[in-house]
Amino acid sequence: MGDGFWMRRATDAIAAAAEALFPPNDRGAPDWLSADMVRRTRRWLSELPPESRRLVTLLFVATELAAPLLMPALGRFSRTSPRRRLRAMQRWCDSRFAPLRFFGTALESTMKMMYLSHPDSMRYVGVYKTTAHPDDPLQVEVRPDALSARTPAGSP
Amino acid sequence: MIERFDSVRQGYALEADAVVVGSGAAGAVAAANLAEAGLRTVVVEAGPPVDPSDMSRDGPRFMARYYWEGGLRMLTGSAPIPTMQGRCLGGSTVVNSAIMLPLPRWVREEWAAEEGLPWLLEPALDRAFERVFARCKVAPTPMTVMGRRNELALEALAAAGIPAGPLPRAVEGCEGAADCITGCAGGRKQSVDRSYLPHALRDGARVMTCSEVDGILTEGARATGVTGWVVDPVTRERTARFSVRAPKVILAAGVMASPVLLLRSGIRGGGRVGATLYAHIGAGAMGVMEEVVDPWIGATQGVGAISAEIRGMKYESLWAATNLIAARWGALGARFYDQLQDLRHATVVVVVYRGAVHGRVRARRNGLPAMKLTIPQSEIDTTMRGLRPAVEGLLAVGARYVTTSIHGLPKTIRSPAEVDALVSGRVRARDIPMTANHVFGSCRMSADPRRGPVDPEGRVRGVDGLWVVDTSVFPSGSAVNPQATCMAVSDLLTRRIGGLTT
Repeated sequence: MGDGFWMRRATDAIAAAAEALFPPNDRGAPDWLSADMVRRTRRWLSELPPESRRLVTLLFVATELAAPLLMPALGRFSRTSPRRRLRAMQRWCDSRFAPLRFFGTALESTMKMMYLSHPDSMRYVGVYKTTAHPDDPLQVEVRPDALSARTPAGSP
Repeated sequence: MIERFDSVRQGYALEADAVVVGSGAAGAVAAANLAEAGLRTVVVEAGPPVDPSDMSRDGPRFMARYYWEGGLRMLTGSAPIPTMQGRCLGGSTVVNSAIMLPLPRWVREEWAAEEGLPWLLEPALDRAFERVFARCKVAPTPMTVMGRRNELALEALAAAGIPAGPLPRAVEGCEGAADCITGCAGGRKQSVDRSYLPHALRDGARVMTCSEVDGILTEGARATGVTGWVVDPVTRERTARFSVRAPKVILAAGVMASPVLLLRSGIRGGGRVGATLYAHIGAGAMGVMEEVVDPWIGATQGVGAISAEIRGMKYESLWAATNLIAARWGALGARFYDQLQDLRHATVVVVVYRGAVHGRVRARRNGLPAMKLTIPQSEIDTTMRGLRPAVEGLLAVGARYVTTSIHGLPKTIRSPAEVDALVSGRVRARDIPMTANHVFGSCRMSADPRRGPVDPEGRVRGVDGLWVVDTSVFPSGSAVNPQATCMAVSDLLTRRIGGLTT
C-alpha cells in the first residue's frame, strides 16, 4: 500500500487511537506497541476489497482530521494527549447523536478487533482451542482433551 | 473440475446446457441436480476456494478475504446493520454455523396462501428437505461437544421457562473448535463444497472460481448466458473477461447479488426486482458467570429454542472468533484489560426474530448492492420483550452480570429488578448492536406478477430460460435459519428444471 497523504493521515490516527486505547500496563496485557497495532491494521486494510478499504481509511482519516469538528477544543487527533484522545473516543461512543456514536463504535470495534487478533492478546485473554491449525499465522494454545476431559452436564 | 484463479486468469468462453451463478447453498444444490439430469453444467463463483490451510482464527483477515466486502457489508435504514455473506466456493455455508431447521408449517401455509404457492404444502417439499438433510448429514449437536458455554445457555433458557435443546446442524464428527465463522479447518462441517459440489463434479459439472458475473446475456426475451470479470482473489484486480453461453441460466448468487445482477442486465420485473427485502433482526446478551466457562471451545451454536410466547422468535447460543465477538466488549483504555479477564466466564444467548421489517435492494454504480431496511418500533419492542427472559435466565443460573451493549441501557444488569429497562419502550433500532445475516425476498416469488418478479416455478417473468433459486425468492422471513429451506427450495425447483423426480 502506498503512503500518500491520506494513508499517512490514516496511519497517524491508527497509531494515536491504539496508543490511547491500549496503553502500557502492569497487568501483563500487551500494549499497542507489542501488539504491533499499526503494522497489522495497515496489513488488514491492504487485504480488504477496494471499496471497504476506502471506507475504513476514511474512518481513520476523519478521526485524524475531523476530530476538532467532532469534539470542539480537540486539535488534530494525533497531536493531542492520549488522555484527551481516549476521552474523545469515549464521548463519541456514548453520544446520543447516533451518527457520531456509530463513528465512535466503528473506531472502537476496529481497534479492538485488531488488538485481539494478536497472539499475545489471545494468550492474555486465555484463549485456547481443541484443535490445531498448523498453517494459521495466528497460533493459539491447543488443548485437544479440553472437551473430552470434562463431563457434560446431563451425562450419566 | 474446479478451476482456480491460475487457470482462469486469462479469461474464458464456454458453452453449456446450464450455467449456475453462485456456488453457495442454492447454487451447489442446483449444480448437483442439473448435472445429475445429464445437463452440461457450469458453475461460476465470484470467490476462490477455501482450503483448510487458508482458514485462520484471525477473524478480521479471514473475513477480508472470504466475505463479501471484507465482512463490512451494511444494511442501512433504521440503523446501520452488518450483514455478512461468504464470498468463496461454497458461499455462506463455509462460514456459518451450519444450523439446519425445516421451514415451520405456519410459514409454509402463510407463503402458500399469500403468494399462491401451493407446492409449499405438498409432500414434494418434505422429500426435498429429507434429501438435503441426508446429504448434509444433519444431526443434533452431541452433548459431548457442547462445552460449558452451550450447557449454560441451555440451563439459562430452561430457567426462563424456554425449553431448549441441541440444534440440528450439518456437521459430522464435530470437534467443538467453535471456529464455524472462520471456516472448519477440520473439515467436519458439511458445507456445500463438501456435501453437494463433489456430486456435481462427479456428474461432469465444471466450477469456475474467481469469476464475478456482471451481466446476463439475452437475445430478445431469452437468456443465453452470463458474462463477467475474472478477479484476482488477492489483489481484487480484474484480469480478463469471461462468458458462459447456455440456454438455461440459474441465479443463485444470494439476496444481494441476484437482484443486482438482474438490474444491471436491465431486467426489472416490472419494478419488482429488488423492491422488497426482509431480514431477521435480533439482539444478544452476554452473561458473565462466577465459574470459568472458556467459551472459545464447544460447538459454535450448539443449542437453541423456538419461542412459544412470540411467534417467529428463536433463541440460540453463540460464539465466534474471539477477536470478532469481543470487538464491542468492555470499556475503553486500561479498564479494558481487566474486563478482558471476564471473557473466560462468558456465555452468550441471542434472540433472532422474524419481525415485520421491510426494505429494498438497489444496484450501486460499482456493481455492489445498496440495501435499506426499515424496522418498525413495535418490532424492536417485541425483540426486547424476547430478550428479557434470556437475560433473566442468565442471571438465574448465576451470572454475576449480563451485558447487552444496548445504548442507553445500563452497561451491566446485575439483578432481575434491572431487567425492566429492556422493555421500557425506549430502545430504538439504532441503539442495538445488531447483525442481520438472514436476509430474504429481494426477488419475491409470487403467482401474482404485481407482487413478485419470479413465478411459482422460479422463472423470472418476461425472460425465458432464466430462473432464481436462492433466498431472494422467499416471500418473507423464514422464521428459522434459512439454509435448509434455501437448499430444499433450490432442490425442488432445479429437479423440475432438470426433469428429475421430486
